[in-house]
Amino acid sequence: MLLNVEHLKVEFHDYTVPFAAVEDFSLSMGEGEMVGIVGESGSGKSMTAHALMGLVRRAQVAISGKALFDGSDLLAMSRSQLRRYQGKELSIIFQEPMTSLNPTMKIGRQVEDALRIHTRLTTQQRRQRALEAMALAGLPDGEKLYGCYPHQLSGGMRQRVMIAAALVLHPRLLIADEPTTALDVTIQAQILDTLKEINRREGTAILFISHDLGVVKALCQRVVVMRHGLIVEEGTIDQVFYHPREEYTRQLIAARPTRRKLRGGVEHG
Amino acid sequence: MERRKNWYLTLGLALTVLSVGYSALGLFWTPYSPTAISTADQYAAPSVSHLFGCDHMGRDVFSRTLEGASATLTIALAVLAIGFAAGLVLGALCGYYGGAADAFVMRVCDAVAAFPSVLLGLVVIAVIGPGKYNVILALGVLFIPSFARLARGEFLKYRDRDFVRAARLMGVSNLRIIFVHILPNTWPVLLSGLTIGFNNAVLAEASMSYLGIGVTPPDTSLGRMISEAQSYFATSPWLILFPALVMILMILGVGMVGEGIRERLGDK
Amino acid sequence: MAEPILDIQNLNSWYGKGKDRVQALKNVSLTLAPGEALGIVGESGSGKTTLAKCVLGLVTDYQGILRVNSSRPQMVFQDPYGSLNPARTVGWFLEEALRASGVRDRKERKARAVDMLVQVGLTEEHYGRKPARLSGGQRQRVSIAAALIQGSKLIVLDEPVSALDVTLQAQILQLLADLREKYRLSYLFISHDLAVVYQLCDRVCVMYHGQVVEEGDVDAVYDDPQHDYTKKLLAASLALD
Repeated sequence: MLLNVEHLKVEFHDYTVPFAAVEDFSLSMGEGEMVGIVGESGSGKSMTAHALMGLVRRAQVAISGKALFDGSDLLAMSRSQLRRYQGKELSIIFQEPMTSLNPTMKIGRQVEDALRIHTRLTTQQRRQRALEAMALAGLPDGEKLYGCYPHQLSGGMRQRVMIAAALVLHPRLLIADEPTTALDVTIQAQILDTLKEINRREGTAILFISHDLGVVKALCQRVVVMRHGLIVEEGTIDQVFYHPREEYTRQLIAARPTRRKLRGGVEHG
Repeated sequence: MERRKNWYLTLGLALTVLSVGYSALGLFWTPYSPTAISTADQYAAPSVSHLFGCDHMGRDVFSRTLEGASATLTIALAVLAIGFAAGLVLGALCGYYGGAADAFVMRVCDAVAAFPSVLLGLVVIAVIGPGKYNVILALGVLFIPSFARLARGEFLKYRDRDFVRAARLMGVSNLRIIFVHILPNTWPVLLSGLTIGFNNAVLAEASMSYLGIGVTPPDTSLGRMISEAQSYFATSPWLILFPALVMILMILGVGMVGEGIRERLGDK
Repeated sequence: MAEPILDIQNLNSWYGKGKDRVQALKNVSLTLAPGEALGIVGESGSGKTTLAKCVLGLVTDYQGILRVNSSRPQMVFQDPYGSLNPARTVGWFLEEALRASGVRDRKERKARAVDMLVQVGLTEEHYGRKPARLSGGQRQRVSIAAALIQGSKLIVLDEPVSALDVTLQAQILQLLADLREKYRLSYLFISHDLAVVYQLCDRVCVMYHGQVVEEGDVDAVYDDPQHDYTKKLLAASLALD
């Protein structure tokens, strides 16, 4: 098993009554597997990902449970131990490519960032690796983009830059937190293709988080449906999508836009 | 869900109420006349009859801090009233409308803000003469740029929000959008700016009185008292200690209220 | 055909100044009949938002014919977190629209505001709430109420559901369909998602680089897309089903 999460619980203590964003979450992922987490806002899906990546500020938040990555518990690690994994063994990409890139730093440098921290490559070698990663992320003319700033790029290209930066060290697990939600549909389809290609060529496992079952279906083999911090349903994509066991999953599927005209004045409930 | 207790705000408000109450008391009652000279009591140390002791002229320091505090508070509030009201209107209009007028007003503000306010106050006082009301006028005008800039930033932030657009589409007039739609959203930032401004006003008044260009005798203020007491610091430290303490309480209380407002703002 | 509520002929629009001036709309022509819903589909930068702003009078740098036969066309915005005033209650905001259109009587204003809330699926209980105490879906319902309360017949919907969760999307789209029928509203529905447009609109206009590249009945465009870009859009949105 590449990742084995057992009874993850994330609880906030900002308020007088503790609030659990994630109540109980367990998941096993094999090497090279693509798993989706689906849920609406407030379901705890993003918080799960952030807790696994060590992105939750531990001062205000109590995290319990286990998250074994290749046998070692991510949740029990110190900050410096965790840093050896972040960006190298596991990476994350976010929804908003505009705010997750530094607007004052050139693209090339941002893609290379993880190399500076984790390796002792020369400038030339780093550049080479960055260009390779950019090509893998669907940016073939990396040479041209290398010296550009984020604002000169379109939303889709910025998301590809994020992906390149996440992949530059060939991590074994990529966590994708709604990476296509802010993008146009045609761009979304292209990015999903790119992620599939990366999974096929590099064997990178992908944990894909989305509010849209359809997007997850296009990419993943397995899916976990979350609601109010708990797992509602779990299974292969075909099982869950075509034979959902839970009412909530059925609602999620039914709500997706299909080729069906809405008529006014119809009673609905 | 219930918020965690905001200690800054609670403690700050308590201190503010205390120091404002203290100053207000000075308006109506003092145990002795603050200006009564008594050679017998020169340099008297704090005692039951003179709580804070007496100064080099035998005047009761407790009575004088009461009167000084109310003078300092009145001056600071009057300075803020001028600076804040004018700065708010100027900044709101500049931020909302933008354009050449905005650029011009902001350059003027930059120019004024480039000098320390006490230095500029000195120049103004040299022209219009010293005295309580002139100090208020000079400092009030000099405080306009900082509030104008603060207000401008806030209005600039909100003018292109969707809810402002929606109001415009509904046919709401620009002035109403500025003062009825946008203004309530800016209170948290403006109020916390106001608390910083209050402290600056207290300190500016103190600095000017200390330099001898502020309040003129027989009037007094906390700054004036500290200035008079400095020669006797080694022999009669209470002369400087008590007015300084009252001033510190005043600044600390208001400062903590500001911090509390910012903390609450961060909650959103 | 009845007189169109919106008639646009050869509209050209620009943004920016001097040498940075860019043409955002190129010879756009379209009409919208009363009670009709027209989808405007395109990616960011296709000019669809500029078109909406021209209709609403928020952009004035244009040439061509633009006739709006409705008092004060209104807009429902994409982001339910930005379109309501955080410092004011729902009721205040709705009443403000009535104040702006000259309704002096306080009781009447309140009655109409509460009635409008009910029309969009909320209750009197929401009248005194501030936006912070509403969910995203509820906020979007308030935005819709605010757009309708002045009695406007032409409503521009700028991606009104794309920021919402899927189950909420379906509810809001159904609400829009109901209101359209009830008040005989005309919608200009801006979206990047053909699937959503299909559900609500009669006709669709596909925009690409400031031009209308395809226009027609939604079924016709779905079944037999002509332009390459339309085909690409369709493939992207249906591939997910």
